Amino acid sequence: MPAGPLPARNALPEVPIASPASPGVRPAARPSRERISALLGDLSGQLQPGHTLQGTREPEADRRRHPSGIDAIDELLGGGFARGDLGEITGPASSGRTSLLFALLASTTTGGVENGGGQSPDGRRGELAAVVDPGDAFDPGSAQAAGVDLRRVLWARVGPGRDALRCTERLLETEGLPFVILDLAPGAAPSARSPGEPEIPASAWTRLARRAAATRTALVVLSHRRRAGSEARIVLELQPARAHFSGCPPLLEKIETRAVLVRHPSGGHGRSALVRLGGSFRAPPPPG
Amino acid sequence: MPPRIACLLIPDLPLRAELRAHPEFADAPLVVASGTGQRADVIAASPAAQAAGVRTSLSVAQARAACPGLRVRIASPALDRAARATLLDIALSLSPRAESAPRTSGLFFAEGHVFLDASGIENLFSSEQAFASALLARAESQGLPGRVAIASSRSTALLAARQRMSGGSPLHCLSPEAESAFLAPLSLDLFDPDDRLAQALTRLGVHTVRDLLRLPRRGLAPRLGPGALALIARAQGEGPSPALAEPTSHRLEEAMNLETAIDHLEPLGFVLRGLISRLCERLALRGLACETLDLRLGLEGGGRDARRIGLAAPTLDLRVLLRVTTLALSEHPPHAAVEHIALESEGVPGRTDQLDLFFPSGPDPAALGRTLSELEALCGEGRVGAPEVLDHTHPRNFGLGPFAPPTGLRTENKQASSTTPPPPLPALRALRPPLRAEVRVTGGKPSFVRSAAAQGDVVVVAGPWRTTGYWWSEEERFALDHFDLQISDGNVIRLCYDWVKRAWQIDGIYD
Repeated sequence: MPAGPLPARNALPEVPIASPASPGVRPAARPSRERISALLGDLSGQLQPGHTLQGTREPEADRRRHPSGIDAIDELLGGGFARGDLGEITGPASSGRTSLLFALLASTTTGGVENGGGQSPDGRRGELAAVVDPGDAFDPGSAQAAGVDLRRVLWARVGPGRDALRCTERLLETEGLPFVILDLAPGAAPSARSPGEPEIPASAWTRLARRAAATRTALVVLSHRRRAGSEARIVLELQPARAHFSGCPPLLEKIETRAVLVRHPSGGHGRSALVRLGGSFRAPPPPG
Repeated sequence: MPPRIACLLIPDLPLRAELRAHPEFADAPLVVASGTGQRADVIAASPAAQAAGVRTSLSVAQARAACPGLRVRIASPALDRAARATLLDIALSLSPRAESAPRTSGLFFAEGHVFLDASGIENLFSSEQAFASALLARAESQGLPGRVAIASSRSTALLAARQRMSGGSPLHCLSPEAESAFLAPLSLDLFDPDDRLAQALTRLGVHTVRDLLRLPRRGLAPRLGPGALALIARAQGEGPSPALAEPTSHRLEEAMNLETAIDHLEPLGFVLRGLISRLCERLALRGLACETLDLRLGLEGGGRDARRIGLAAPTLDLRVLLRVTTLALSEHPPHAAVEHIALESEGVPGRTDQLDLFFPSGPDPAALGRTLSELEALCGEGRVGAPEVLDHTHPRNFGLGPFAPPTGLRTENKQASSTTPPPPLPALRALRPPLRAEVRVTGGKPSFVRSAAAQGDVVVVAGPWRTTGYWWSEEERFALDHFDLQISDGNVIRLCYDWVKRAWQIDGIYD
């Protein structure tokens, strides 16, 4: 039994999804390797003794990414959240943020990074992920149902405030932990649940972004609004569209949401995609 | 082949125990006194104090007169115990069987020694000399310079080590054939016989082992006491020498008494740093790591404060251990100034990991352990780990187990071996504790919800699904009716009616 559309919240005009390989866009000319080597040689000669040249970031195309396994989202993100970047997923309650988070976790912990979003045949390519959860909202049963390998998830049930940032920073300092999630979304309506929510200073986000870049960790912040400002290289906004109930008696089946790309290093701002997060995961009640 | 026993001997253990805790006095003229007051005896003196003319057995007043800038410390049983235990740890770092000798009285009361099994060490070291050198170097690295001797029995090894105290090389390896010749000219003072026997032997003109062995055995015990026969056995290298045992306890302790009580956390942190550092060094000698710290504080006025600080993973990181300890103290500070500190830890094996050539490697186990420990200090005990879905009927049931991710070489579980990814599901965002709600019911189903999380008319309702359990237990029984609701404010929530509490609650929000 499909329900009516949800009340419009932050409605945006429909924007067609642009193909990454759009024929109207010419890629920028890239300098050849020989020219880059010659340039580096010239610059190194002008440096003081003991100083070296260091690249700031890997080329976008070479960077490993954490896909969600949801084609429309991965296409918007250019393959997923890249390592070394701070990304944000924003949206109100019931917009599908947590479902997307679990999809990312499932992909990471079961080997989706190597396999382009799918699980590796034996799960041995699975990597570790950490969830910093000041709202204590992580539901292990729901995550397991979404395909997350819980053994590879480090769950930090930290208290709200600065401890959550400290926790995140400590995790980002740990080499070999490729994916860290900071869940700042309140468990319910923000105005009701966290009236005194402290504002996180911009310097804290700068610090976290630098840590993530240094250890090549993908840091994804989940929140009901943008928090990291310009430090977030990828911002994906989710807007709830409708909830689908089906069957008789009705069962919650899926949540339909519109994902809007607000910020991305390779452009494409404003592109959006309609995604359905769901599938009946509760067995129907026995007859009688 | 006769057994080979090594003896590590520290001639001035009270001084070394003091310098372990206070390395800043290493070059200062320092003596350790047997008690308080000017009449107390000096039981150990540092080289700088000895150079100024201070000798053991002088009184503190005499020592001060000989050396005006002398620092005097009172012998601390806690530091002495820790230093003796460290000797055992040093021995166990090189041999699986070792035993700490009990504290002696008399002439050699200031010395500390440990015996260790040196049989078959040629397989690991090129020679006994090389083994003795390694043992000596390890002792010196722990601030316990001394002497090492290797012989066929404990008593001979101890005598060889004592004989080296007079000077020369600190190493002495005695072959079984050379032991008799070595023992013969030794002074009987090295055996430290009791006063009565020593006087009797002196009256008889017996001063060396050779003299002693010339005495007729018959009638010796009735005339000189049973101690004479025991002394002869030791002089022949045949003293009681039970087999050395492997240690069964891995519980290590470091403690110290403070000269003045400390009532601030910052200076206490400096003391703790030293204690934890020494504890970590000892654990490292045994190849173990620290998983729990038992902190005992003796407070001014006779009070006691004891607490256990748990760590999420075994670690030897001084920074982490110091941080969790100071955090524990800052959260619940002791109610009076601290006069005595003792730290205990049961050593456990550290985490190791077998890397895989073809699959992604996770964090270094030691680094992960440090991270987990720091996270637990921030989040609280039992709030960091791997989430678990418990085999339980209660819908709100979940667990948090230790974070020990599988490595690439281990067998994966069935969940990970699935080849077809499950479809993405609407995830539940839990509300802990569940949020109370006011609900209007129409026709047996919720029609309006008011709560801090969601408010409005119910657009669609699915359910109820009833879950019950533990009906036999008054405390644990539960009966819940669950509904999935879409509310007119846009939220999709999981609502439940608790039949035990007779209340409506929101368990979570579908997100």
